[in-house]
Formats: sequence, C-alpha cells, structure tokens
Amino acid sequence: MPNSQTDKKTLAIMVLSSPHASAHAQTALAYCQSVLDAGHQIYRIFFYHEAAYLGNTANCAPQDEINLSDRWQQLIQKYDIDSVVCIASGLKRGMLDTTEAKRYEKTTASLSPCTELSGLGQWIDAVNQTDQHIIFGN
Amino acid sequence: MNLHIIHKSANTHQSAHNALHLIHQDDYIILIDDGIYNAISQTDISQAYLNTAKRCFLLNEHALARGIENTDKNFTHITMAEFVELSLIANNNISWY
Amino acid sequence: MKYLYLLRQAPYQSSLAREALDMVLATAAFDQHVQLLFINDGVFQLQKGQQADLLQQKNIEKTLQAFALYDINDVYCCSHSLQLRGLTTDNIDASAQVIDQAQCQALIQQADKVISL
Repeated sequence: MPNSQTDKKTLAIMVLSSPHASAHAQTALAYCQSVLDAGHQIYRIFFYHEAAYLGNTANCAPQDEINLSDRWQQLIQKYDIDSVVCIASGLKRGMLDTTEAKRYEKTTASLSPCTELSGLGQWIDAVNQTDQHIIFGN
Repeated sequence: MNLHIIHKSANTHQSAHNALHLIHQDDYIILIDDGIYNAISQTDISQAYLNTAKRCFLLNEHALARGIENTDKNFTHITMAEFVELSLIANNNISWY
Repeated sequence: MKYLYLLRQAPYQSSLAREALDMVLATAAFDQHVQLLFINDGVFQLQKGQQADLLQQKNIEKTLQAFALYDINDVYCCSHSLQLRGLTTDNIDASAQVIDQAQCQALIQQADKVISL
C-alpha cells in the first residue's frame, strides 16, 4: 500500500469535458488542487474525449473570463504532474505536438509541451497503480 | 461504501434519476455542479436520494455559487477538501454526468 | 484486478459510447478481468440490426463481436433499462446476460475498479 503510514493516497484522474461544454472541467481542476493541498499524490491525469482541448495552447479567453486550459497547464507545471492527452482524442481535435504536426504537415503544434500524447494504456496503468480513480464527465 | 457523484440536474438529465437504480443501501452520494439543484427540499428527487443512500452530501461552494439555500436539511454540506477525503475512502467513485 | 464498466451511452449521438468501448478493449489488452454492464441508454448498443453505415459510422455491433477475442465473456444488461425502453431479450445481442437490480448492485460491490461512462 503506497503511503499507508501517512494516510496519503495516490490517484488517477480522468477528465472528459472540454473547457466550455460544461463546468465539470473546472470542478475537476478545483478537485485536483484540493487533492494536492491535502498532500495526496496525483499519479496521472488522463484527458480523454472532449477534454483533449484542455491541452490546447491556442485558445484566448476574454479578459474577464478564466482561461481553463491555461489553468490546467499551470497546475500540471507547478506540481510537475504526469499528464496525458489521449492521442486518438487529441489528433481528431487538432491537438498536435511538434512530432505530430510535422507528420500531418500542419504549420504549428497546438498541444502544450507540459502534457503528452499517448494511448489508453497510460490510463489503465494509472488505474492499476493507484489507490483510487475518479472520472469527471462531460 | 461506493460514492455516487451526481453532476446534473434531474430536471434536465435522466442520469440523476438513473443513479437511483444502482445506489446500494450502504452507499453515499454527493451532489456537485448542477446536481446541487437535486437537494432542494420537498422535491421528489431529493427525497428519493435520502430514501436510497446511507448518507447524502452536497458540495457547499457549488450551492453557494448558485444561490441555493433551500436544500433539505438531511444533506450534509461539505467543502472540496472534505469531498476529496470522501472520494478517497470510497471503494469506488461512480460518476453520473 | 477486476474491472466493471458501466456503459450508459446510446451508440451514435456522441463518440463517448465508442470511446468507452475502446477503453474496455485497452483494459482487456492489459490482461485485466473485464466485466461489462450495459445500462440506461447503453442497452441500445446491444440492439440487433444496426446499420450505422447510414450515418457513415462504424457499427458498434462489430465491436461487441470482438469481445470474445479479447476474453471478455462477462457481458451483462440491466433488465430494468430494457423494460423502460420497450426492449426484450429478443431485441438485443445474445451474448448479453440480462440481470436484475440486485445483481447489478452485486456486480458493483464485487468489482475492484468501477468505471462509469
């Protein structure tokens, strides 16, 4: 049992919602911050389905609205969290890292360098390795 | 104990009702996001949750954000930090969205 | 590890039903014990005679047929969900075992990891 002596737990987190389709991506972000504040460990965040858009670096929020993709990326960087955008979800939504941008002959990479494109195996591994998993829907 | 996390209003989403079928008598539920509206007192859905689950919670900050004060008194208001701890002691978290 | 998937989505309105099945197959490929419970509108995934090519989509029934190849043999369907939707066992894929509410709850109690999609 990881960290059983201190009662600290490890978590796998899946997000399904885009930044704008529902409030769930924002709720998930607040949940993650609270997990970290309590000293628990996020083993991996897996962005699946519409949540692939949370890895986008190109969206520009109006000044009086929060930029949820930026907020997620800031959290991931600040705490050095392992995060994955599902490669199948990401590619069809235009979330490309430099390698994929080159492969598909697109002019720019759109995916934040703080996250990476990978497969569903990363999610299953995370669920297997952790004390708990939680899904924030769309 | 499994924790059922209910995200949607029963007024617009069947998922809020569907959860009832799978809630075991030892399970807990928590209402978050628009699920908050399901805690309003004297509604059929609030009573159905209270009659089905062992304990019912709601995320206080999401109720405050929506200006909802008339929740049934049998729903326990908790913070995000308490929701995190609840989700970690559950056998499984079952999300309804 | 015993995984239970709650498959709640109708097949073609959003891509989530298909993406849930992709997750199921990935789990089986990791040599985990996988159980499936089709429930709510998810029971429509089991409907016989789908012609998804009319929507230029992949037929979800084909994926169901792949389950056996992945050693996924515990496929269940909620009887209450069928009844509410005017379906009977005659309408759905024969591989699914129809179970009642108590059996659905027991599956959840006995699973190590429950994934609700």
